[in-house]
This record gives sequence, C-alpha cells and structure tokens, in this order.
Amino acid sequence: MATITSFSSNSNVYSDNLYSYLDNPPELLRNSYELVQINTLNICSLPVPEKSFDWKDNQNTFQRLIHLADLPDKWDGYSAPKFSRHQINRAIEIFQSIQDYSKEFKIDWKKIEPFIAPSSNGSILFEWSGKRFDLRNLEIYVPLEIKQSLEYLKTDIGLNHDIEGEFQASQISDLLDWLVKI
Amino acid sequence: MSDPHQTKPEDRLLRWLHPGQFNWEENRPTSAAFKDPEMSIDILSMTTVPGSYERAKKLGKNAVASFSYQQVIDLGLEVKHDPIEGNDAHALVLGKKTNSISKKLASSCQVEVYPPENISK
Repeated sequence: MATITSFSSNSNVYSDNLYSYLDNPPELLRNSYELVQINTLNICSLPVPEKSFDWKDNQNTFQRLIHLADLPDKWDGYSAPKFSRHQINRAIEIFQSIQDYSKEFKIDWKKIEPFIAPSSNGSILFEWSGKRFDLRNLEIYVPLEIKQSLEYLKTDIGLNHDIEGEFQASQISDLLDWLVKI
Repeated sequence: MSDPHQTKPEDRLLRWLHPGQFNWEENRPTSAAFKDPEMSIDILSMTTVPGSYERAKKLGKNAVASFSYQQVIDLGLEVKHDPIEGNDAHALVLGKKTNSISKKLASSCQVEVYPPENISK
C-alpha cells in the first residue's frame, strides 16, 4: 500500500509533529488518500514500487528533513547511524522556528532557507553558506541524542573567524539575527 | 593485509560522499561529510581514485573527495592506517571534528569524482 511521505513546505498542512500528522491527517488529505487506495485496488493489485528520494534535485528543506527517515543504518557507506523520529521532529521544530522568523521579519523564504544535509556522525546539518551568504555563514547541528545540546558554527567571512557553541531551540532567532542583520 | 603504512605529508586521503551531503547547486561537499570522530578514508598512495570509487559504488556512494595529510595534521588530527578485508588502503582520521574543523575540511577538499547525474539514492 502506498505511503504518504511528501508535503509541500508552503502548504502549512503539517502540524507540530510529523508523525501525529500522519496518524491524523486532515479530512481533505484523508479523502484523497482513500481515493488513491480505491483506484489502486480497482486498477491493479500489484504493489507500486516506492521511488527513492531525490537528494540531488530536491532542495526543499522540509522534504529533505522528513526523508532523513528513509536512510538506513550505515547509509554513508561507513558507520553512520539511522536517524530517529525524535531527532527528526526536533529538526522540524527548528525548521518551523526559521519559517516563523521569515514571516515575522518579512524575509523572503528563498533568502533564508537552509540547506539540509545528513551528517556522518548522525547529526542533522542546517547550512546557510555559499553564494547566498557571502558575508556570514551559519551552521546548526541537531545531534543524534535528544539529551545532547544543539550546536552552532558562525563564520565571519571577512574576518576569517569562526565561533562555535551550544544553544537552546528558543535562541534560534538570535542566530538568524546575526546571519541576516548587518 | 599489508604492513602498516607510514603516512607522508604529501599523501592525499580519499573520502566517499553520500549525495545528500553534496550541495548540488554549488557543486561542493558540505561539512556533514566530515564529522565522524573516527573518519574512514583511503590513502591514495595505496590505491587509485577509480579503485576507491569502485568500492564506494558498491555501497551506494557515488562521489569521492580528497584532502592532504598535511591539512589533517594542521587541524590537530591524526591518521591511523587501518587495513580492512578487501581494502588495504583503509585508514582512520582520528580526533574530535569540531564544527569548525569539519567546515575547514569541506571547504578545502578537492572533489575527485563528482556525483553522476540522475542519481537519487
């Protein structure tokens, strides 16, 4: 049976918790899902193979976060552990805080959207670097263990200077202030 | 298994990349690929880029980056030759990879094999 795993980050259809959302989808989506099931059963009884997530072309922050759950143990070819639901939920909360910040200060989402990458030590990287951020770079790591602190790395390009440390989820706006406000 | 290799400053070290760790828009690896406290690499003088890439592909990885042993030493890390079955060139980069160190490795490494087009795993 097909599984619903994809949502638009702009649709505001997800709740605080991705998995509670999957357990209790809103009516419109539930109806659509049932419709897909009926059509599938009527047309073909063979299971539809799931298409693997496109890590190359799909740059959408939310999509990349939820598809971290697809990666198996040792997904990097070495010894990287599997990402847990708790860890991904924690990362989604950070993502929502960034979206809230974007709305509150009317900053175009495309200008502040982080790049998400799975780290080989099991943490989740939020990266603001490269062409869009030529003065300051910011990296945030959501660690493997829920009891571990969130970490940041601030890089001032002009001064060639790094500052790293730990932070609370409630302090994300301070880091974004540093990144975008000159 | 080969005898332990004495790493030299001019040695280059190869690291495989998962496509999710590669920023495709900017064609560069991210710090996410260089975080392990015991980071597996291949010593290039004991293998070849194509040879390492073939081993990477068998495990579903499709890009290879390299950096110099001297860079590793300059960052306060060390390299331990750690041959494993089927790969005498295997070694470990030991030492805590602070976020700053990971970023420096990512920004200074050279991509030897870019991920091919139309790969999504």
